[in-house]
Amino acid sequence: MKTPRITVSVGGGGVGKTTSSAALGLALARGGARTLVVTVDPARRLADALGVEIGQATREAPIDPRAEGRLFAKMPDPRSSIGDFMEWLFVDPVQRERVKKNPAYHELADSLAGVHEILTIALVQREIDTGDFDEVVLDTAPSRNALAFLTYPTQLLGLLEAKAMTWLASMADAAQGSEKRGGLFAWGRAKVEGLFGRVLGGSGIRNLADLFTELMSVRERWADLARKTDALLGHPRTRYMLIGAPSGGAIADIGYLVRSLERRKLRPTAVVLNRAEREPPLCEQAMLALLDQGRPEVVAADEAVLRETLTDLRREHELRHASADDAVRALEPRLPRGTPILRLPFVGPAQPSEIVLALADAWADHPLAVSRD
Amino acid sequence: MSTATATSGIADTLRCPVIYVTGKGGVGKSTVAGAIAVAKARKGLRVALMEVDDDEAGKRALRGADASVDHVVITFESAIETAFAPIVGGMMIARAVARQHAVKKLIRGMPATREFFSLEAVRKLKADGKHDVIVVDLPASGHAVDWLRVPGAFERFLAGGPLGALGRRVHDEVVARGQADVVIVALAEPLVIKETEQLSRRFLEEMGRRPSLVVVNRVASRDPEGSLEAAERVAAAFPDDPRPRELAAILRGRADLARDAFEALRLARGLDGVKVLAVPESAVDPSVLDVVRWLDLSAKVTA
Repeated sequence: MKTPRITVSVGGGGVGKTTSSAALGLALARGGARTLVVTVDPARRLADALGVEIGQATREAPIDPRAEGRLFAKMPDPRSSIGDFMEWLFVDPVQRERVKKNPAYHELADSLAGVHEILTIALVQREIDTGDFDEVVLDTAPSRNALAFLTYPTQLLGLLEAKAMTWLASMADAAQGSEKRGGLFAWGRAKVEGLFGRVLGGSGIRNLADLFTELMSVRERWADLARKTDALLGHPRTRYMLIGAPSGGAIADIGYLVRSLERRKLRPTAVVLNRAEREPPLCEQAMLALLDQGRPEVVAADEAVLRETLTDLRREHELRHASADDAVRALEPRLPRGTPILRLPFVGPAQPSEIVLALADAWADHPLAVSRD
Repeated sequence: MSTATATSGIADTLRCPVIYVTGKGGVGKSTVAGAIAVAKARKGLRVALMEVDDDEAGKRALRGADASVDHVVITFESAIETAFAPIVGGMMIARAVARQHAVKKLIRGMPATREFFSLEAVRKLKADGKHDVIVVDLPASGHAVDWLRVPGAFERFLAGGPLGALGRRVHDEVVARGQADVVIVALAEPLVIKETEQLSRRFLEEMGRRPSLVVVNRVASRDPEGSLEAAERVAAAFPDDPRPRELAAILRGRADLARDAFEALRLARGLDGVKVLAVPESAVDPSVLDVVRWLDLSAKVTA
């Protein structure tokens, strides 16, 4: 059975994170590794580009014959994750129905932050356990807090084990009329109950207490997931790829992510800077050279409009190039010494599948895109 | 047109004392929020630009601003402590409660608390009366509906308790119709606009009203007229050279993008009862002043 190497890609929104993660997955698969790309925040366009569907299932991604039989994708649908999550968490259907009827669940389910992430982590864990893959690329939600999401299982376990929960659970017992305990413990409990009661109000606290009692009963499922996730995230082979683009927001996000990795005693494996090409495409240079030759095949009107267009294009490249250089300069002091910065090109207007293929070309032969075996 | 400047800019498009700006990450949301704040401040209004758990985006957005805007950052801890103080009877106790280990975990683990206490912080800032306009740059995760329905949910779910009562006050003072405008920032792509349309429908269903404004950002402009045809003719004239063909493909892609952007704008303008403004694409991040100028221009053209 194989234990896959995990690559976690993190970064802010709008930097092309999901696309470049898919491209990394493709480059690894081209190199011979059985690769799974998991996207926490799937976009219809990318799913279409890879040739897979959004949903819980793992599907082969038939985007490139050079990776045939080796590239797989999983893109869980956030809209159905509450239901899927409940099925995963509460194996007993009777209990599941009871939880769903709790007004506290009803009011709060829609805003249960992190449920989708936890479900995704549980699904990834299931795939890892199958031992089918050499490489797993986990593309997190486009947020600077993506790393916090990854530790949700542990945080929630902590919550379930916290004393406050025990109090809440015992309050639920009390509401159902179980035996009273005297002495200092009861006095302390009454104080805290009173405090919570003041904050939350009467009926709310009972429903909430019931909900937490249900959660307590499936604590082992949490504990198992939390343990495995922690082991995975802290594994020495696990890589953290920070993805950015030349914009002030994206650079700040990377700085923030470096610090949150540091807090977890981790460091970035590399920074990938999208839209950071060094040269304009060869075709533009070639067209300009052709116009300069003054060939009779090119009519004057066409030459004039093409020169105008090429001038616009070159100005755009120069701006992007300068902005990418600035970005690298701004990044360097924010990164641990020696962190490689990989500049990927701006892939102009193209279909999403073309962008994935072009970026996989840019990844080709880079040490980061080579599987260890 | 120059006579219209006083009445039809972006500052006059939004009239409520609280303006929530929402949108996915990377769509230019913070810059648009900054631009709206600056436009309001130019009118002589006292303006706060409020951010949740982030102090960089607003600072960056306000860099180079030519009118004074207060930058306010809400952190989760401070929002909770301030909200608890009147309930538990004082800031000292509130701080002790909120920092108590078990309670901290409880609050952090409980859903929707971040949204609720952040909105309570908005309410407090407004109640202080030091600002005429508060522009709130909502976090990229979680859309405005998910945020703005929370006070109402607290009111229903915790009815009878002090948090339930607070839910009602927050809703009435900084969420209700007439108190708050919602601005959605979206990219100029037909699919994105369709998502925006769904969001707008959810707004109507759950909040009983529509967003006030959709800003369609990064509208790609057209290349010079005839450039694609010229490139295609040159490519045909040199069939052995792949480069002109590649350039023609790039120009075709750009033409598609410009067409998509046009289509996206058309779709957005078809949204029932929602005002739409466009901001053009630029090769690098635009400054807040650029965005104010574009929003003003777009508002005038639309008016």
